[in-house]
Order: sequence, then structure tokens, then C-alpha cells
Amino acid sequence: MEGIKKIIKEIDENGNEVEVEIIEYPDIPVIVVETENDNSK
Amino acid sequence: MTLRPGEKSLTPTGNPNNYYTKEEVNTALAGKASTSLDNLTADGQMIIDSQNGTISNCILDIPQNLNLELSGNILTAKSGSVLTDSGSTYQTITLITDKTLEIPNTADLKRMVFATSSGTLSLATFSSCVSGATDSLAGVPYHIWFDTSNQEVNYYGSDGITASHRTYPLCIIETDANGVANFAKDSNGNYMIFNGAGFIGNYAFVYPGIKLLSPMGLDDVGKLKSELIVTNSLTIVALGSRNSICCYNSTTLAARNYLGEYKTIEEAPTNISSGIPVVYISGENKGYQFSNNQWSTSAQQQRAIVLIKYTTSGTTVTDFVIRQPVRTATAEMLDRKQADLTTVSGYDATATQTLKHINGILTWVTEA
Repeated sequence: MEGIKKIIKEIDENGNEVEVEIIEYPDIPVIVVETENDNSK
Repeated sequence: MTLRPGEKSLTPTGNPNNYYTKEEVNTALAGKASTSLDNLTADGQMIIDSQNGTISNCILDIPQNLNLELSGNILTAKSGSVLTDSGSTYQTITLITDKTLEIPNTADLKRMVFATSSGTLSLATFSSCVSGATDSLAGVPYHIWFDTSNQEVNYYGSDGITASHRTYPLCIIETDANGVANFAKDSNGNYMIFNGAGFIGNYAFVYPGIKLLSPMGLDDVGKLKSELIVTNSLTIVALGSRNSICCYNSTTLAARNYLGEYKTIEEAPTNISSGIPVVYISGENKGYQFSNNQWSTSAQQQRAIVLIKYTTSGTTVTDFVIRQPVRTATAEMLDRKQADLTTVSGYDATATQTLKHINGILTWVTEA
């Protein structure tokens, strides 16, 4: 899976500066399936 | 040095001795590897194995993105762990350093572990984690609401009203009567560390990257046919009163009533009243689905593969079992499994018996 990678610096809840690597995947959908409405055949 | 599409050898340019440095070779090959090289990967080998008809209807791989350790009451999410952030866009957070959290030694308490966008770990009492289009615990201090309309995990602190963003949960931790913390286990004894999938309240989430062999029937000589599926979506599934999540293709998952595995469709139960029942027929290597008072199998129905089995009590999930990937076993492991079979319901060492799936439960049945 290809994604868009970026390093961000944030202040965490303890007041410390931390780095995390965020990867966004715009091509991967987020799908919600409600049980009564699912229509898989 | 150049490498043109379709070329099988390097073309020297301006190099009188025809020697290439390692850097020149790497530069020339960058991005030009043939897709046929994928056949040399472990995934490709699995495809080849499946094409030999030896296995089907199984999980091949679940990405182990969460590397968690629990020592004493200190939980550590190891550097390199990949968390999944909540929201309408699929986004992951990779920890660059270890993240730790001390689990309070409150006795007999079940909690879910979440993280902030910076990777800081946090806890929420299991019974205070809800999901759905509306927040059933609105105003209640210290609760989690998974807003399924926006796919956002929200944490509410002391006022019960102000929301803070959270990732999808990492795991479930329980403390015993002495306040000692352990990872919770599913009914198969697996730690409830949410690699591949998990749940909040009564909604499950299934991550992309899970590899499965979908059953596609038998070939002309009776060997198993399969299709490799790799989930390519983050799918959120309402759990309701059904008992399994089935995968139909790379983006289609649904909650179903899985009634078990049978050799022929004639053996499958027919006194069915509710839900969308499915079975796996091993003699055909196909899935069947019950509708209009009969079992049927369409092109999509036949490839249904169970990924998760679960139980619920109202809106509370009481068990959540992710099928584990297939793996080879040593003779010693098989011997231990053989001994385990004597503990299955109905076992009688003095009788002639058959091991059967009855309504999805493995049971020894004494022959008449």
C-alpha cells in the first residue's frame, strides 16, 4: 500500500515534544456496514 | 548507464572499462523491478501453493502492526508499532520511540487501551466504551464514544462533554483480584491485541492488508481452487445479533450467522428463522447462503470466508475471535492437539464416536 508520509512534532499530554510518523492512504476507503442494510449477495 | 523498458541487460554509456559501481546499478534499477519478481516473495509462494490445490478457505497473513509488551503493570507499545488513527480518512501513526503506560492496580477491571495522535497511551473502562450514530453515554465522565457516522473515536474526560481525539483501540487489558494486569483473551486463548481487527462497543473494525484464500470450488481433478484476497479498505461493521464477519472480496465484509462447516449442503440445517446464515461446504470448497427458505450459492456467496467469530449480549461484545493465519505444525504440536481433542464436548473413551460440527460447535457424537 502506498501512502503519503510525514513526520510531525507534537506536544504530548505530559508537555513533552514528541515525533510521530503519520501515513495517509487516500486510496484506501473507510466503509461502514450497518448489519440490517448490508446487501452482500 | 541506462536501463530501458523491456531491456534485459545494462547499456554502458561513457564507461570505457564497462565496470559499474554498486551505486550506479542501484540507481539504474530503482523503480524498474519487474512485477514477475513478486513471484519470489512469500506472498507469491502462497499463491503458488494455493494453486497446487492444497489449502483454501483460510487466513494467510494478518499484519502484526502492534508490538505490545506487558511487564508487571507496565504496558509498552514498542517503537515501530503502527497504530490506526480514527477519522474518515485511513491514516496510520508509526511510533518512533517506545510508549509506556502504567495500568492502575484496581482489582477486577477490564479496560481498553487507546492512543492520542502523538502516540500517548490512555485507558478507558471497557463498559464505558460505546459506539454508534449517537452517544449513549453523553455527559457521563470518562467514556469513549466511537462516532460511526464520522468514524471518529472520541474520549470524554471529567466533564463528560468535551471530546478529545483517539486512535482505534490497541488491546484489552484485565486486572485480576490482586490488581495484576494481563492481556484479555478470547475464547480460543488468543490475546486480545487488535492486530488485523478489533471492536469498540458493538462495532468492529477490520484493517486493510489481511491476506485470505477465498474458496473458489474444485478443479476438474478435485483439487481446491482459491483466490487470494487482500483487504483493501478499513471496514467498520455493526455486530448486532449475528455471530461472524465474513469477507467476500477485498472491500466487501458483512456480519453473518455462520452455522459451521459441512461436507455436503444436504447436511446443513434448514430450520432457520433469522439473520443471514452462511455455511462452508468442504466437499465443494464453496460457501452457501440461506435465503427464501433454501441454501444457494452465487459467484460471490461461494467465496465467503469467515474472518471473525463473535458473541454479543445486547450491545456488549462478550467474545471476539479473529481466525489466525495457517501455519505448518510439528509432529509434537499435532500430538498435543490430538490430546486436546479428548476435552471436546461429548468425548467418551469407551465408545465409537465421530467428531462433528453441530451448529458451529465441535462435538463428539456416539455412533448408534
